[in-house]
Amino acid sequence: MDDRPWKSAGPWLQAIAICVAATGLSFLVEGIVGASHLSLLFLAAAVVASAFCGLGPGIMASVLAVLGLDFFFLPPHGSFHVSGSDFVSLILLLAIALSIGQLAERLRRQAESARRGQERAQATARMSRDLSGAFSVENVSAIALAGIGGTFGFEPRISLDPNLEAPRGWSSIPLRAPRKTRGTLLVPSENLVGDDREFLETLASLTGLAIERIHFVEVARDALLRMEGERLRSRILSTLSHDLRTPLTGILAGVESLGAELEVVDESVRGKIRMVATEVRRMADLVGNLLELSRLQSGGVVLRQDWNSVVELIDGALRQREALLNGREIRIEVSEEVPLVWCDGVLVERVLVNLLDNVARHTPGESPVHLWAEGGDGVVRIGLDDGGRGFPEEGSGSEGRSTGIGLSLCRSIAEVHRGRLETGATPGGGARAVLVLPQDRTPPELPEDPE
Amino acid sequence: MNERLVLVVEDDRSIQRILRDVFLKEGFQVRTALTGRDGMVEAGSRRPDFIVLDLGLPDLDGKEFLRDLRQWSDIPVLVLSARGAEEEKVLALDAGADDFLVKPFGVPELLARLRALLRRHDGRGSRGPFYRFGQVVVDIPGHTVHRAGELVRLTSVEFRLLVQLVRSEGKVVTQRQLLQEVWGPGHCDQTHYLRIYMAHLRKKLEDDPTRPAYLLTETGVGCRCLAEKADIPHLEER
Repeated sequence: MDDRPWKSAGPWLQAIAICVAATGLSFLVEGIVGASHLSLLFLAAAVVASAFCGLGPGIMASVLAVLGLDFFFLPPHGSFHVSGSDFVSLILLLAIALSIGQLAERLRRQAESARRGQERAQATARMSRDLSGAFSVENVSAIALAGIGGTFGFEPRISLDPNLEAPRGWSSIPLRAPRKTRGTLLVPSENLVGDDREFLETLASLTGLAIERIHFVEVARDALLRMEGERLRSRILSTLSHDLRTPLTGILAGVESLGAELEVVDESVRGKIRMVATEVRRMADLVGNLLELSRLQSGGVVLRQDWNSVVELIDGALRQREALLNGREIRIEVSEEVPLVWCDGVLVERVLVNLLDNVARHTPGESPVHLWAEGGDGVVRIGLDDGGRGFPEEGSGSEGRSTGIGLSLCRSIAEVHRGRLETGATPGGGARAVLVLPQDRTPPELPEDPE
Repeated sequence: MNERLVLVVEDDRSIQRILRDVFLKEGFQVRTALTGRDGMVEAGSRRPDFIVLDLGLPDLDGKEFLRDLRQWSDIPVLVLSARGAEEEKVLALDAGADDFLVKPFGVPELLARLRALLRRHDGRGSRGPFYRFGQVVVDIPGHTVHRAGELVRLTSVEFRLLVQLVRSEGKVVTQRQLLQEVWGPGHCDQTHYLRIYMAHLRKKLEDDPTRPAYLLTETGVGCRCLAEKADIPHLEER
């Protein structure tokens, strides 16, 4: 700070020195060239001072040159008095010196701004090259801080908060990127002059762009990882499913063909063979439920949703459990108003199958089954009532019915449909299970169809 | 059914052996293959009457097997698949499988499917003009449907859907196939058409539309109609 007046006084002293030198030179050559030509020497001095010392010293040098020429070399010597014709040439000399000074100043400014422009272009290019190699947000901000600091000579700060309030004495510049603002650049306000702010905004948005690129790279990488994970999980589950079912298939087919081959007559042996077959099927269902449950609970399940008719789903479930429900009275009540349901039909049918299994296992063989469905209030309710003893109270342990894997799967299936499974009792004391599915879309219109 | 040849393509040896025994006992000749490639060779050289194909083969996707096979043969194929793999079943059916059986399956079920497929295959080539299921008779050239001798009025879409179903004689037709054949290629995902029209058909043709006996839906796969070709359709007509 201390050397500033000295620094700014320099050009003035230089201008004075140039004028003194011109005067001295004029004394030396006066005898050779004649007084009238000395004006060119003074003009040269004024032009040189204008070109090298800046606008103010240039003007001063012009005035000094005119005064010097007049005082020392124009008659009467040693006085500022001038004759008419000399006065005109002095004014001309002053005018020429001043306008050359102006031109020189303009040129100097242009050269200065070209130099700054080039410097900034280089700084921008350097920073964007460095940023393109950045691999983390920390990396980006380090590069940006070094780049901006190196160009401007002050220490900026970077925050990833786009809505940061600038502290006193600091100006905030947003790190703007195409999708959104990614953070804030803080610079000392006193350092901002002229078009600095625009240039800093360019550098800030370069930084924002780099942060955004890293953000999207991370998003893409996460998505890829998730996809890979899902693919792996689904492959493991389907291999497991195949591996677990294959021996069961062998046992079932083996037991059944054994029964046929031996031509068993003994009813008790036949009964045992039937029992093994039944248990193998149950085991297969259990395996199926378990695998389905782990698939649903591992998340990222893709539901195969389309329009399904409740009647068809109920019928499908009953056909799957025809043998199990043999001899029971089955009542189906689905009102005409129940709309088509947008759901994964296979999974919803599985819910009904599991509920039927539950009924078959926990109620006497002759007790009736009542399947019903009703719509309204933005949901479809599909219910199953039986004549058994009802579901156990929450937390009552193993007493009454087992609410095992089958019901857990039912709940999971309801949840992935954003619905729920309600369990409770019928007015007659039996168990009631209701699958509640949201009904938030209606099927599109049908095309015309003449009879 | 004397000395029909069955080809079993299954990678699990014990299931393969049991199937072999079951078929031999039923009076079939049996060839077996452990891999899809061997199965392809067997099918090409032995010309079996029937193929049982496991969809979980180690070397070759079942769908690829079917696509290759269907380029030169219409041998009936029964695919074995896991429960819950409905998507796989649909792909196999679309690739040319005739029916599917879910593992684990019972022997009687397997034999019943096999006989139905062979019966249907024997009658192939003479795609009949008349079909029957229950008390319903469908006269395709005459564009009429009778139920217990009474004329049933169907809309043109209902009739087209019914024709697609009865012609497949108990074979599952996938949703995509039905939507494409009846409504056109642009409507393959309009599954609600199918739900609504199946309900119409059941209402008009089934005794109990909530527990249909013939017009069945295989959830997630497609529909089937347990119809057979009929010779003298107008017999019961009054």
